[in-house]
Amino acid sequence: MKLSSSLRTFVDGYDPFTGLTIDLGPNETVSQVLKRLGVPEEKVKIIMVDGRSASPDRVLADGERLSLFPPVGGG
Amino acid sequence: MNQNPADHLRSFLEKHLIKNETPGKESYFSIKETALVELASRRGETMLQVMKACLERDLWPERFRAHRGTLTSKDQVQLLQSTVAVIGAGGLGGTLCLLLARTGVGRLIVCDGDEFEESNLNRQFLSNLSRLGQKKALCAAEEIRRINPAAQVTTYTFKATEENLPDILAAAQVVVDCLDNFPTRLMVEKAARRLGLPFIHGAVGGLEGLILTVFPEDPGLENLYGSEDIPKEKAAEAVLGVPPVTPTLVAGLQAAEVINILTGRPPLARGRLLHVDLTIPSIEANSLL
Repeated sequence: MKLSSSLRTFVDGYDPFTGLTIDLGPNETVSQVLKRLGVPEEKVKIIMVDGRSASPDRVLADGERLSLFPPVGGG
Repeated sequence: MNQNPADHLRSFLEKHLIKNETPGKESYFSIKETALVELASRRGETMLQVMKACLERDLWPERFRAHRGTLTSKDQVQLLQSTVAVIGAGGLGGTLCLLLARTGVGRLIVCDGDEFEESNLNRQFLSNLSRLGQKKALCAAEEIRRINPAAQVTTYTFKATEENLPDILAAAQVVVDCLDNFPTRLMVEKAARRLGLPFIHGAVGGLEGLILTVFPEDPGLENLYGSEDIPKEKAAEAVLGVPPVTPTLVAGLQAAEVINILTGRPPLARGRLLHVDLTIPSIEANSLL
């Protein structure tokens, strides 16, 4: 699991090199994982599962790679 | 002796041609700027025209000589004849203007309503102490012309709006989003789509950046961010700031994408969101489809 930029501040000790590895509950969705980790869902703007765009109600499977991005808008 | 007209230019410039030789490689000729200026004046042509005439005979203007090997003379001519619209002339757009001017893009459209302020100095390459309070778009034009006087620059010193965008973008072949707010980014994307133009989105926050290329028929920014406004204070850069390395790198990737599109190479970020992360460092591609 990969957190981008400002989302990293919600997970103590997040290491961008390794990301996070989590055990999934049965039929756990992206939303449920966020809640469990204490990442506010409203701060997440882009969800990618295995490099493809996904929605918060996407059920995750073992071995999948979840990437989460906040809005990034600086220029 | 009668000369082949095709050789006329070569003979005219003979005394100015520089022979470049690398052992084991085919030699080629290049020409200094001063000779091109003289030629333009003698022929009553613009610098862009004489540069094109030389490149068509594989005579490289010295200023572009280091492109040889990566770009062909045909690619270079293509860039000289191209028009790119840069919307936003701050951290991304300022650097992008410098890169495109040095690459030899012949015509640039620069739009930015802001003036330089002190807090821009960390990352906006066109800013300096003597330019504080000056219009960013005008500073961009000044800098582009200093680098390559042959480049034609059109400036817009006001903000892009739904009303003025069709005019601003009318002559462009590629539109580059170097803005700092979501509503205007979406507006520019929509305008580019309407005009059938490719749109290159770039955004930065902290040590990370995102790039996405959207062709008119492709899914775009709304698929990423939705259509609701995202206030600036809710974006990553409000928490992490913008150190200069990030926009510089992202502007480099946007410039590479402009060159790919204009020279008919495959785009880097079409249909895929490139995530640049300098903390690791990595560049990852995420599919939007």
